[in-house]
Amino acid sequence: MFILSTFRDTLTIIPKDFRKSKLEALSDEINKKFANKVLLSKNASYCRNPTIQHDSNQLKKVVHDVGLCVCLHDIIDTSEEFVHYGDGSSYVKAISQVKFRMIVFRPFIGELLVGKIKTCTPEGVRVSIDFFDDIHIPSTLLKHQSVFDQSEQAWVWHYEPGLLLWMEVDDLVRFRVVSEAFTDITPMSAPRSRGGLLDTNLAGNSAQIPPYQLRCSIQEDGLGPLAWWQDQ
Amino acid sequence: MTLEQTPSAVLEAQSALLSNFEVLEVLRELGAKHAEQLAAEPGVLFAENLKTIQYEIMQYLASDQSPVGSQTAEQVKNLLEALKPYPLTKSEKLQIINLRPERPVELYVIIEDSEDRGLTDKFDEILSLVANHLPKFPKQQERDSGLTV
Repeated sequence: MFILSTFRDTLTIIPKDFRKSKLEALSDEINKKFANKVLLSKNASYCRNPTIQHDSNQLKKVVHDVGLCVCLHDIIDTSEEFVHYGDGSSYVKAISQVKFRMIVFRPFIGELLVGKIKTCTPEGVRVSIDFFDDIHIPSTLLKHQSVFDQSEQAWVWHYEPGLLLWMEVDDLVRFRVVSEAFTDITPMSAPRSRGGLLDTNLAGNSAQIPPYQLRCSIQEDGLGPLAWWQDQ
Repeated sequence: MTLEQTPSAVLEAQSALLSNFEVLEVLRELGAKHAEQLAAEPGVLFAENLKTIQYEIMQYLASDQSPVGSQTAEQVKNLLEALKPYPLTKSEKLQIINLRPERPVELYVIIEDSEDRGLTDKFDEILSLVANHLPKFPKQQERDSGLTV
């Protein structure tokens, strides 16, 4: 479910934090920047530091994606700090290059997880594991002969004639990760609508697709609501 | 090294796998560190995104439904030692520790091709090793203690 990823980044320590030890200041900075964020490896754009100029052509293409960052695990190496003089002497910062390892949520394909059903819709079932909600079990990956019950808003597995097994909101389910999808949701430059006018609805443009989602299955024996298999 | 050319980079997307128990340990340590800092300096603020994910993951991993809340490094190490004779892959062992299977059907979904690998006969042995080495789910612990009182 969790992995360690090794990153390198250039971090800024603002004067307020000079009283902290270097490692402590850097740890806080790393956590502030990455915790609870989905990181795509091309994410140089996301991590752009406004004080440092770099050419946007240098942004790497998506080679592999990282996952949902949890927190810093350890700092492996740091460079000497640089102090840049910006406009006015009040604007002094120490900039340091750091190599570090993050704890990242990135279940492997085929991994089993246990979560709680959040919603049931005709399209399938959505599961939450408290800190991550973009888990979908599409209707095609539910048990065969599952039917969506409109009146109960729940899925029913017609296991055999006369035996109905329900999947309801808040049930705990065991499921297998089948595939993952990463989407770059950094807002793009405003797209032009057909009339050539700028479409200012940037949020509507980017907020709909989650940056990281998991597609899961409960088709095998042993998967599905835990209660189904408790008497085995 | 020129600063201009070094935006953040992913050096190795996957350096290692971590068990849920190890992640919980790190988050608990972080919580203890924050509590210490808060005691030394009341009113100190921590990054909100960090606190959010820390709280939510701890809620998930240390809930009644999670078997890893009371695991210790010692127990995990002993179990791995005991599982050595069985030809299990690294990710299978990881999932055994994370999920603490209790029934054959739970082990069956964790272990791939168990029949072809001749592991199906060993299910009972593996399950009893797991039961002996890893602490029970919090819910069962409560139930057990309820019975003895």
